[in-house]
Amino acid sequence: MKVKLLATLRNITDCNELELEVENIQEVVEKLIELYGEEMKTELLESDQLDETITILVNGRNMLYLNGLKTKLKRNDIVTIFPQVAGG
Amino acid sequence: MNGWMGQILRINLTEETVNVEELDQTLAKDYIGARGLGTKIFCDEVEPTVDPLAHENKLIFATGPLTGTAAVSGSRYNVVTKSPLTGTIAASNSGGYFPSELKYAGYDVVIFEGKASRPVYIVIDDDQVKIESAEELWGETILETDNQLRAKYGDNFRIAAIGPAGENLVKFACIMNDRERAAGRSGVGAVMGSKNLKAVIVRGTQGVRVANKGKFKDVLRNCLGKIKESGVTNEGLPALGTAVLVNIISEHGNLPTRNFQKGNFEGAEQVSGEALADELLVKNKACAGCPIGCGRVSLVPDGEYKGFGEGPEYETLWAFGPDCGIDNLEAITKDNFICNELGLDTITMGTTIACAMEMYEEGIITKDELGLELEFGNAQAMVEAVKLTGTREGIGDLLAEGSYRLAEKYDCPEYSMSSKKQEYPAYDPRGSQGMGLEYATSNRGGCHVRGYLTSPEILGIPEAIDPLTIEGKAEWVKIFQDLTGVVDASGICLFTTFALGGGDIHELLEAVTGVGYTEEEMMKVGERIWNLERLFNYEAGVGPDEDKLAKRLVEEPLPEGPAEGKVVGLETMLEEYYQLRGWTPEGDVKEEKIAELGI
Ligand code: SF4
Repeated sequence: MKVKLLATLRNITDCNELELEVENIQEVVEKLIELYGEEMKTELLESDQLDETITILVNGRNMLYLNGLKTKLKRNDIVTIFPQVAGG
Repeated sequence: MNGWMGQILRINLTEETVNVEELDQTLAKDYIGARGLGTKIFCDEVEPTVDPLAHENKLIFATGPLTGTAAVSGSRYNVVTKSPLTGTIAASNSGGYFPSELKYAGYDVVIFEGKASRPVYIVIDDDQVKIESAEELWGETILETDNQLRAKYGDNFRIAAIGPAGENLVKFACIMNDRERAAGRSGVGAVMGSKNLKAVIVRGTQGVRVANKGKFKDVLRNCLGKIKESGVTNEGLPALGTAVLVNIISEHGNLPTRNFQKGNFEGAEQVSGEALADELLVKNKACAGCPIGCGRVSLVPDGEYKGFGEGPEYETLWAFGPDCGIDNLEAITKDNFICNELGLDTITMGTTIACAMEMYEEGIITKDELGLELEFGNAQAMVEAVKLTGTREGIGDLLAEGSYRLAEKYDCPEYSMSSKKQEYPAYDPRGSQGMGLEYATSNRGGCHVRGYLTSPEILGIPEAIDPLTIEGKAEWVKIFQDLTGVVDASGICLFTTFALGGGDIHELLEAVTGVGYTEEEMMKVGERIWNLERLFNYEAGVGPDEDKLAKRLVEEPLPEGPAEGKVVGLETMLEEYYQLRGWTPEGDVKEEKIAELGI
């Protein structure tokens, strides 16, 4: 599935999106930390839990209204991740 | 008085007289300032049925008690008048440096009444106030006006002015201050133009008195700490500005595309905050006393869209971008610069063009009538349309009336994406239901900064709520609308609420004014402002029947994305909302409510 990274997360990855093959959201988070190390870990986790300020969408729907970190992913799904931002 | 300067400046343009009046302390306490105090004074003095462009309409510049203080982002003022676009009350908010300078000159409020017999500008230099001829400035752009006034008076004066759009009574002309900050919406610039008032320049030497300096320091430290801790105000807004939202809202399927025909734009990435930061951004810019600095300064170095200036903000990127089917960042930025020079509200400008584009593609309006190939995606035609609007040339004369009047003229008002004749901003409420209720009930028509439900529904601030459901949304909308009233009235920037809560704002107000508000009383002020605005609208002929949305939003389901199949569940939310507001089931403000709020 495609994983899109938005806003300041791109400073860590230097790319806008990547392809991963994983089963669920939890594994996306783990894979990103594996790929990008400490900096990604600090951004995504708070006391080893997903930081509450990180939003993860599956096909545009916030995972909070799906099955959270356990949300299963299919091959054509699009996962979007971004830190807390705002505008107006 | 502490926080308030205690004076109102009244300038009668017909008589060319200037008077200074004392600010009524009870009124100040009950309405705080800016949007609140300005609205109260306006409603007391102006008949709701007045023609917005007649000399009987008044134009009020009002600051808040926190304006000009060290309170985080205490940089704001509100322009209050009756809007020529909506026929409702208009309160347009702007930051920069001009508002604080008004306070330093000694005034909380400036009232302009009547109509000058020739173009004039006003010089406010502390207690010296002069009315000068603006014959030579009339017709000049905002930047040229600013340059000429600076050349004459020096850089110590702060300037608010209208451009050709305001002079030509474009119904969505804005008042620009400090060159590129806008009191943008609802056509306040047209009212200024109707009074033959080209500019107001101000210099002041007085300070704002703070009631409890020790407490103020502590509260400030606490507030600054929160702003530094928040990823939004410390990182996101400074790094990417409001434009950070383009990709995020598009991913949510809420980014209105091609006049709200769908909710995600295939070219979002090209016009995103990330692309702007990579390609055109020169630096950030902050309003007075603001640690956030969300403003952008951009440069298009060469080519047909060459230019330099402030912007674009998220709303502007969207209005000239996805809403018009355009993914050319340079063309969008150019449109922003042109709007800044002519003094046009970018939201209504972009969405009016989007409306014309759909009408053109549907064969309702022809190329001959438009004089332009105004199809979705045609960046050159869009830029041309903006220029024509500012001067009301050709099709610009019709575009200058806004999308509602344009579509109504061709018997298809349903093509106008507006409520109360003011166009919606950059969030499709079919995928953000609470925002739909906010648009429908906003006292100045389609608007996101009366109760920004995107914050909890999409951004998870202060907590995440499901954007696709309607349950509980009425209460969120009411609380957000009332709190926004307080923030607007106090003179600080709404963006601070991404890090600060009602409690912090209460503490700031208390430390500065020392009037002894409880937090509950402070929220009551917000409710009082909301009800007063509604009562004015009612008397002006814009009643509860107008608490509605464009047909598309309640009848045409979104065709794709996470909100696929959704329309706005307005009726149910509205019923609950009226009840929570303590109004009748028909949406009328009850006598008991008026008495309870002491309006
Ligand atoms: S947050 Fe942005 S708009 Fe608000 S006061 Fe600061 S710089 Fe100005």
